[in-house]
Amino acid sequence: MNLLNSLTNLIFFSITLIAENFFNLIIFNKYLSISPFYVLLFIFSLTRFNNKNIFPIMGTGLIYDIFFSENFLGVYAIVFLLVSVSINYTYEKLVDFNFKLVFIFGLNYIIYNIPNILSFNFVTTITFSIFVNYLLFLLIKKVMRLRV
Amino acid sequence: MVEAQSKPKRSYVLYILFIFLSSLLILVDYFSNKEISSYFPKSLTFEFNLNVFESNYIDSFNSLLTSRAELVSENIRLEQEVKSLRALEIENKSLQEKIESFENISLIKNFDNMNFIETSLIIKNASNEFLISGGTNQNFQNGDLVLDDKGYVVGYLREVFYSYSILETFLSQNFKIQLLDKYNNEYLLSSDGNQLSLSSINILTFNTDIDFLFTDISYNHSGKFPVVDTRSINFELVNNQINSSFNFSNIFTFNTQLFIPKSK
Repeated sequence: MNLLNSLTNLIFFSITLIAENFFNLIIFNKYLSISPFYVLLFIFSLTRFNNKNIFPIMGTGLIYDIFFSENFLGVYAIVFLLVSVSINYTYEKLVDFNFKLVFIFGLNYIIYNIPNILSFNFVTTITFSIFVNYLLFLLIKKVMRLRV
Repeated sequence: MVEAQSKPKRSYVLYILFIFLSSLLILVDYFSNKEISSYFPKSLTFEFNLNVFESNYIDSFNSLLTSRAELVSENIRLEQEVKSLRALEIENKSLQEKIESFENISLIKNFDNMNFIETSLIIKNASNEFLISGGTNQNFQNGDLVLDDKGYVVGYLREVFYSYSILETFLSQNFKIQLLDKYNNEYLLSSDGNQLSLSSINILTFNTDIDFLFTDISYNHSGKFPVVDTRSINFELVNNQINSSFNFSNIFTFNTQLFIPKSK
């Protein structure tokens, strides 16, 4: 049952990641990147942070490294796992303040984009993308009635 | 209470262990010269063979029905033929228009020795690189040029797998290509992901009527294809050197038709 659950999550994560890349191809904007997979990772790390998520998250990262990027095997697996831990850790340990969730979302979105940190447009793209993706997160949160 | 607090900590430990495991994978992949990460893309194929049953359907239809029905089926067949002829005519026209527009800017006088293999974008990855259809199954090779439907070079193939390839374009910060002008001056065009930088490597004779910078077989390119229209950018010779930065002029979109020129 656990294996089936992990496999289902792996397929769901992978499809979301492929959809993310496909959306970005259609949008074709160098200043904006829609990241539904990051939003999914954010939701999972806040509400369902569990050891059972390691296999789907790492698996998705490995699939991405193998098929969709030029990086060495394991780069995106590390990034996704690190983002997941960081989201949960900062949410648990950080003192409450008004924009805590936005801050955590933004900070971890930067970690999520670490492989592209040398890009010239990094600051512009990140700022604009954090805003748009946070709106996407709020929309999902409202639709799914998440208590975050 | 203690158990509830220690649970996340244990989770973190396992996550960190798997991060180390992934680091180990990077090391193994690095020392195996990317053999592991490229094994599946080079061996897997995503092509689907669909059976066409159209003609069988019409044949069986004829054998079952009477002469009146035969007339009806003949009528249908003729109608389909007319439709397909019309479709071919439209396709022919659009192809002719494409050839004309291509010939207007092309620096190659004879296309008989070239094959243009059509390809299309699949997805864009986080590093602003594009995955395009076709790979070693279509004889694509690393460094092959990719042209848009106007004949301009939009990039080159950085990595080729069995049925798809990674395309490096102006949008990628790793983009670098050597070019020539009509006076055989040599240039290096590179991108930082936002702007293109042009710098001269070797200036023999400088004139302002360069018009185009193009690829050349001396750099192992498949032919002379235009990359930069210099009429739309400003640059001048200073101390026998040309250095210029400019924005991308010919940006393609996700539905732009792309072609890979291959010598026969």
